[in-house]
Amino acid sequence: MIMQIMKMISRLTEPEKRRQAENRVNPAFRLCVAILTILLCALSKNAVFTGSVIVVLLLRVAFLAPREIANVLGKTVLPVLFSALILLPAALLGQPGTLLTVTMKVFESVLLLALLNHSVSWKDMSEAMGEMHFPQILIMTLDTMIRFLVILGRFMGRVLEAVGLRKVGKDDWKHAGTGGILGVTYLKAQQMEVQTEEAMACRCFEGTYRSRRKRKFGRRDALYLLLAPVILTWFVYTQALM
Amino acid sequence: MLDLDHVTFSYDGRPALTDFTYHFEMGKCYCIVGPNGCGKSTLFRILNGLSFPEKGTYRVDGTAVTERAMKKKEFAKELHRKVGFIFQNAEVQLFCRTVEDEIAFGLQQLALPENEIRERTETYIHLLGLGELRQRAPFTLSGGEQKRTALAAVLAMEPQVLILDEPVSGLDEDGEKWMTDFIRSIRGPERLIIIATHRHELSEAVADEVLHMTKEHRLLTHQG
Repeated sequence: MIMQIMKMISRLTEPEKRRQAENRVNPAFRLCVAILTILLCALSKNAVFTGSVIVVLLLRVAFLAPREIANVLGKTVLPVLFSALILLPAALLGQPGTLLTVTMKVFESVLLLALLNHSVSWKDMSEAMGEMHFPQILIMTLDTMIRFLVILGRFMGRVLEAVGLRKVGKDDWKHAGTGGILGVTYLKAQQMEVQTEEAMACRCFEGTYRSRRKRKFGRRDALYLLLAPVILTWFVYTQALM
Repeated sequence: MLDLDHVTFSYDGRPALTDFTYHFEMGKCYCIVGPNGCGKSTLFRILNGLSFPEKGTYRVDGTAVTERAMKKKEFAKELHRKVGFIFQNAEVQLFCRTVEDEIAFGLQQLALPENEIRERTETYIHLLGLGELRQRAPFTLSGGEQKRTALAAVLAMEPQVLILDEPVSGLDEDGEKWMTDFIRSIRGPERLIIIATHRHELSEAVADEVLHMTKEHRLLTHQG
């Protein structure tokens, strides 16, 4: 018994093992539960539900490696500061509760998405959206956008390197050079867009874009899906507290 | 199989292909050689129905490929099913999220039965040695791996004509050797292969006929 508990704890605390266990859960279900949680937080009329979700999420963050914690929490800083700034007049006009509630909701939503983003790759996320019957064209647009970002990012890196090698001793290239780099990248993006369109036409593209990978519904999926009624019940209970 | 009759093409008045006449026969492998900018890529665009002759005609199995004909979905689909094209830069040709999806993409567009899609995908994954890369995103692969993926994706559609634009450019010595051997292995009486290349080693190793193009965008000679 003790051994089993220790094994469980080690699974929770070892990042690699935890990630493997998480990856066995269908990302579509994880996305569903995340959307449900964000929706319920937005609908909640008091801070109890949002606060409790934040506690659970922070507990989950605490099991990550220090660099991962910084990475995940770092993503929440800017949106939280921004929303707090926007709501500052409300606090000054005598409604400090609004500032707290909305900022908490923003923090919860961004933290949840950052955690999801941290543990689910874009490929899995895109597949999950397909399984949830998002329009194929939307998923394809997102995939293409990611692909373009990576390829154009590499291209821009190479251009910057080339510029860096030629700018010896002079600093005024920055003004003319930045525009030039952006212009060249824009032209490259246009070229790629045309070539991709042609490549798709050459492969008889007719609007079908779906993944080959089929996931089986497993025990972990079932357990994960149980979270949905638990969260819903907790939401109903906390709303009745008011 | 493919007939070009006095085909001329230009980009904004700049000639790209001038009075090109040739008949490509089924079962043969052709290599087109010539300096940069002589019109090889333009020729390939015309062969794939991506550009259309300003003068002259291009026919596939006796049917003229025109801009008007290509606007008909069924005609365009039939042409692209018959003629497979590997771009010089394979990176732009790969747009799905995994290698496996990439190979299945064309087959899904052809609305083949699910079990056939699965079978063909597996066949070409193994034929091109992509087993370990099947769940990788194509844009994360090396140049050689991208070429192999593009080949698998196009070959899975089992085209009668295979057009390769500079198939060995950007490949190392082993990659070049692999590509040369592979092209030799897929030659056959049921397939027409047209390759643009600068490498004499490749054209000597695989071509039944070598076509020379000039700086003036004309077909100069051909040798059997």
